[in-house]
Amino acid sequence: MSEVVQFLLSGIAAGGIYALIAVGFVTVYNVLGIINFAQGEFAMFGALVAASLVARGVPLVAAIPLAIAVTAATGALTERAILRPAAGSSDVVRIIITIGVSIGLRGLALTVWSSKSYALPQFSGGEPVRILGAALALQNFWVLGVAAAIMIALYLLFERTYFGSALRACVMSPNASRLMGISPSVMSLFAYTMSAALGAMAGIVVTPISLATYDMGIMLGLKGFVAAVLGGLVSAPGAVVGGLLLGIIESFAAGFLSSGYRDAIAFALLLAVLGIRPTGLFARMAEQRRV
Amino acid sequence: MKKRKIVGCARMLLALGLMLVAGPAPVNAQAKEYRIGAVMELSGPFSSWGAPMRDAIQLAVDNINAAGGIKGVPLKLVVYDGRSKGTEAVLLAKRLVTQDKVVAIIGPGTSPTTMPVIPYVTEAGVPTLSMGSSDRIIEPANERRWLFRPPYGSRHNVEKLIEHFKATGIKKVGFLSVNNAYGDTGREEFEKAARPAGIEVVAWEKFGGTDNDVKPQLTKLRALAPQAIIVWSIPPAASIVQKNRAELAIDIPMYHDNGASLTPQFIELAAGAAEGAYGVVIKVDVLDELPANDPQKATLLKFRQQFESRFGMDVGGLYGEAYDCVLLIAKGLESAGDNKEKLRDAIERVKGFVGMAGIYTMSPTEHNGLSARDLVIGRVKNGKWTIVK
Repeated sequence: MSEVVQFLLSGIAAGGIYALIAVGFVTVYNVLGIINFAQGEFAMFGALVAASLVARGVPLVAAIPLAIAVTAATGALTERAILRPAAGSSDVVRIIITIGVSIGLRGLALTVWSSKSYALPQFSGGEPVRILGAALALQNFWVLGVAAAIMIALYLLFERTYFGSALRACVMSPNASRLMGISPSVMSLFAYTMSAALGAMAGIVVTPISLATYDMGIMLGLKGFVAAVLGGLVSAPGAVVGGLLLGIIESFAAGFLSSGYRDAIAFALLLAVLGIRPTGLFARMAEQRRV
Repeated sequence: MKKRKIVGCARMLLALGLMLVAGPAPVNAQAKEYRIGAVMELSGPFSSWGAPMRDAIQLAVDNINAAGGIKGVPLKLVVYDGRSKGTEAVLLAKRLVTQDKVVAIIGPGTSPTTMPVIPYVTEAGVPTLSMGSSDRIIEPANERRWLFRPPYGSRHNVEKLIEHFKATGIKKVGFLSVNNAYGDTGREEFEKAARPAGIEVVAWEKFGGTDNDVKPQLTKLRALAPQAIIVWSIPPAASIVQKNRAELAIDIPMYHDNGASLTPQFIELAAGAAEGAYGVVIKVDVLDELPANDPQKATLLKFRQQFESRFGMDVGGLYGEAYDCVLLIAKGLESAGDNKEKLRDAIERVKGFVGMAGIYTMSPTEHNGLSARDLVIGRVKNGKWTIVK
């Protein structure tokens, strides 16, 4: 019994992490119309900056916003210097550029931080929550809380505000947006910067659980991508549900079959969704954006 | 069109020529030095081991040169990043032999990256001191003439653990290993040794090297109530297992193989959760507790002081093992000079040599040279390994 409860709790914990990365994918996709494969790297970057600051004696409460700001600035710089000049290129070209950005960031991190693992303290001290012999660390509640907060904020931004509509209008029709006085260039800068900040938040909040290394972004990015696709790529709530679902399915598969299958399950799921329901599991929401 | 092609070809030739000229300087027969090559995992998934190993090797080379080299001939170290890939390691090994003309190679640093290199170094006849842990690197001995593996292997760890379990009356254990070649080798060795020793393994569990949650596996193991849980992995995974154990408030003692304690990262990253963990450790980790008459104590004290003052980080067993590779080659060079065949023979003849990891005695059938005798069962107390008596 305690095993099954633990599978579920561990699944939710992992799912929260995937959800956090997935909302970053959604943000960029909603505005730029591309998959940002550097999403995991932004998480890594934020996490490592925060860990270094804390190691140098900066208190956690100051280190976190500082690391998010540094990552957001890196995101903004990347958008202006690398993505913007290619704005007229096809989606495939721009997606490949984001892959390049991810490799570049990873290389940079390797030179700055070497290949060591870095830790961050838990945000709040205290005993883990224990239910029926299973346990969930307090930090996991932080992950889930941050994911929920971001999900609500993004949902409100994209669906309920004029600014959000303007953001989404850019990908639907850049020309029409321009005629309406919306600058796709500014919107794209805003979205990319925001997704970098979201990535950094994700990386920082998971580091007390998973530790931070220069290559943590690869797996985070891939799993987050799977979660985002499960959720249909355009909706923040969809991404969060997709993340949790992925985490739970993985955890049960790892528990009942073998932990060796954990990653295989995630990617099998991705293939299945792309093959059977390419618009994600929550297709109705996705249709709103298909133009 | 045709003309363009010709110009293109000419350009390529020119570029090729430039590359050759700009490549590594040709070896000058006059400049007398012994070149030692190293293929280390400085990036990629195994890289948490690579960088400190390179530092330790460099320290050893510098120390030998500062003391006048090998009979006045200095050592020159050439290090390449194997990027944690077997194919890359093979290419780099070839480059070390054909371009850099090294007399011996240290590395690659893991078993999976060493295995693909074996056919080449055997054919080329270069003494190669791998830092992997698998016995397959040096066995069967007749096919592995050119391979040495100075670090401790799974076999030594299993031997030490079983000896300890027998002494403390532990008969029922659970086994949790990382899902890769490292974990599998440990598991195979333990499986072979457990039954004859009368130790029952209640469950064989696995976890992924990048998993950040091992609680499901630990819950399963706890339900079976073993007297001890053996964990076969390296940090950061090993640290995460400790953290999860604390979260679940499991009070079954946990034993780690030598892989956990090889770098100080294990205790650091577990952030307090390593307290009370047992592990197979190398003497450098429990240096202050060693009796004064321990044959390794004096050299280890000096090594620790040098390493920590130069690199500003705590020393770990792994660095000692890497350091030993250079010492073994240097020992061989003393009698063999730069003849690779003679160097190989000389390393094979090393007997009772006190290194940082232990005392080496090589033979034609023993290309590791260490014994479980020099390992210690340790326990983490106040963030430091202490000897379990």
